[in-house]
Amino acid sequence: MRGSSASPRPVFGGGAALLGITAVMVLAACQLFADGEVRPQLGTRVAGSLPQSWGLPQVDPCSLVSVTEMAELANLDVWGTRPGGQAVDGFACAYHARGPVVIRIGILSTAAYESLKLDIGGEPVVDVAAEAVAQGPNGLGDVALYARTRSSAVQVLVSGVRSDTSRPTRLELAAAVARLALERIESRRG
Amino acid sequence: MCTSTQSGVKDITATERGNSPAAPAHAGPRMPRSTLRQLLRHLPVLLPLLILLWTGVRGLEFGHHWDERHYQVGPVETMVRTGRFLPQFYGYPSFNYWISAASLATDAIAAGARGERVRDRLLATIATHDYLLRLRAVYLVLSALAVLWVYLAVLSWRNSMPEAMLAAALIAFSWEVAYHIRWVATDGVLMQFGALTLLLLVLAQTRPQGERWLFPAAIAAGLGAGTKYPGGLLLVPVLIAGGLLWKGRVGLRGCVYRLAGLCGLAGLAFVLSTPAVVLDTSALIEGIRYEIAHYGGGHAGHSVRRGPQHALAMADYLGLAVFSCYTPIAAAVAAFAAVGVWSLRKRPRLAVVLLSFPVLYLLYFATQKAMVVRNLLVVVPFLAVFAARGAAWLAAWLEAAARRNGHPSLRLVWLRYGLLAALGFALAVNASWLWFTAATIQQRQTARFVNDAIAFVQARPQTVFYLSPRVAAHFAVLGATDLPNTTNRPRDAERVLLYAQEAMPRWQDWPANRRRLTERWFGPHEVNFNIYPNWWGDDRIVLMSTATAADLDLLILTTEQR
Repeated sequence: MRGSSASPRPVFGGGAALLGITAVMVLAACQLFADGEVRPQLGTRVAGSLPQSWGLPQVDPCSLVSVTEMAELANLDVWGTRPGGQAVDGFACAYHARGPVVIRIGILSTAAYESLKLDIGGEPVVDVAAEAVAQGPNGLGDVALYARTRSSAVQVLVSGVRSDTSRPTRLELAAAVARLALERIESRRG
Repeated sequence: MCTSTQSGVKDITATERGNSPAAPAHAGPRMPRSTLRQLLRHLPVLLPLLILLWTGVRGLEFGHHWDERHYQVGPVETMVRTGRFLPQFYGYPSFNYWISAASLATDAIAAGARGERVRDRLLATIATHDYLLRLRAVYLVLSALAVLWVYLAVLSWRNSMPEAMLAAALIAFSWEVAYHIRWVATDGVLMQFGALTLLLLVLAQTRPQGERWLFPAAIAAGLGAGTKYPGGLLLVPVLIAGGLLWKGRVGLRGCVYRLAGLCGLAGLAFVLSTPAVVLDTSALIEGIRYEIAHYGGGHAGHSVRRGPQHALAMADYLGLAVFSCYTPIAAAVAAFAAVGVWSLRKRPRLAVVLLSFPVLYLLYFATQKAMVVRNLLVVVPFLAVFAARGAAWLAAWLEAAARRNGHPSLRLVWLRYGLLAALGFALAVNASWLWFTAATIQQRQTARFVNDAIAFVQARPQTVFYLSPRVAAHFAVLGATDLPNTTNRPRDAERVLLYAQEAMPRWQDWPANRRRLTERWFGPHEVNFNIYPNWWGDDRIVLMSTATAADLDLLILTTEQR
């Protein structure tokens, strides 16, 4: 595996050409996503228009919306809740309904919300809270809605078997749940 | 230790580069070579480089990363908003922020040409998803330069294209490297500066009048420190190489002056990349103190005990994970790296120069309580060079052994071909894994992964699987409601299938850096979930034994439905 040449090679002979190619690639990388129009989405607000914090309210997410309220909002037979695990940097509650359908309410920090917003991109969802962005429906029909007020943020995820023509739609349901959850968090913060 | 430069150069170039000792390395006129021939010697590196870049670009839209918004994009936003070019965040030095700010150049020019308010336009751009993707592309390309530097380093040192290709391909096809360098983060860039310093050190050791390469090496080390503070350790091998080259030739005083010059250059590069050293000193010190406390205090599931436990955990990662997601391949590469280090035993000076940084760096991190593997990327170029050396040394040894005693040993000849074929196969496996993982990222938010999980369960009718409520709901969406080997009672199952984010009450509860945490997962492979199970990005279905789930106290086992 050794070469046979007797004299040291100028390393940057061909390397210079490669560096040139690399420079072109760097420039291409800059341009790769430079042509996209700057969309007037929620994400275009300069940080500082809404305060951000990594703090999480000490609220049990399962206490924000009762099973009965969820059943009314979803127009579904909701039969229970259980701790839903992690929601980005916060924690969640899972509501189980016939279908089967799973609705998760997660409490996350406003800083995590801002971070997600940049990743998700897309158009804002209006009339939910101070800000909201949505993901989906994806290939499984899931819709995830992230919404925030000045001091609180929530994630609502709707998964499972639900007809596309059912009312409310998954996004409408997520928006209604997010509104209620944020209102309750704010009221408990006093 | 410190002797004449000339003897050092001759020693390395004449014997290590595989030239005949009878032909002095620098004697006689240099043979003229066409630029085309030079280019052809360097072209092969484009293959691994382009595979890394192509699969990297395909996976740029990988979802959410914890740090990008607040610790990478945020400081750039601050610089643009204030117009002061001080990021006001010093958990990292500032080199990255200059790169990210430079990525706005075309927008600034366009806004200026249109007569728009440049600052407003840039702030609007920074807040977009497109800008995030652009940054990921820039960091991908910048970090991937490590492949090029390593190729050039080995080519210069060994004068062997296959050995250089092997070293380059080991980095380029490492999944751990590949997914990390998609992030807008400091670690890939530091890895690149590590590889660049390595290249310049090799040039200093192998070129005539090689000492001139030490000055750019010092600058590269300074910029490494300007990328991530522990990168400052890159200056150590530069100083050692300088000491070895100069002391015997210019005397102690001259040597000290020159070494001070190297330190000065590195310091200048650091200050220029992080002007807060001068302009915002107290904030910078506060940022450094915060990170010292952070790494000294542990980081959620990444916390380890200082000393042997941390050292062993790093050895486990570097030895059994970093060069392949297939443990046998990763272990074999690590073994080659050990052989490569051993092969340097007769060249102690070169060994000290090449080993000092990785050894010191790993020792430093062993004294910390937080093990976040991305910090280890910078030693990967060194390991790749050692591994390529080890494989080449072994192949050469087999070839020599096969011809010993005057008659060729067919067994050893076949063994050598077997070794080379195995290396080629291992690289092809790693490259195809990169291809596969990039495809999974493109299929985020599709039904593919649930379909895969259903097929997996159906293919194992003898195994009982617990399905978490959300997994069961997704199986139902795809019509898989009556699988006989599934249950909703975890204690009745041998295996559990659940969404990762259903598993733990908080992300901090996941134990990180466990190569065998899950048996597999169904979801995008934008990250090694076993290393970063606390990932905030896309959720995924994970498969683990019920016993492992019980050991981890997963929520599905410890909570009841209300």
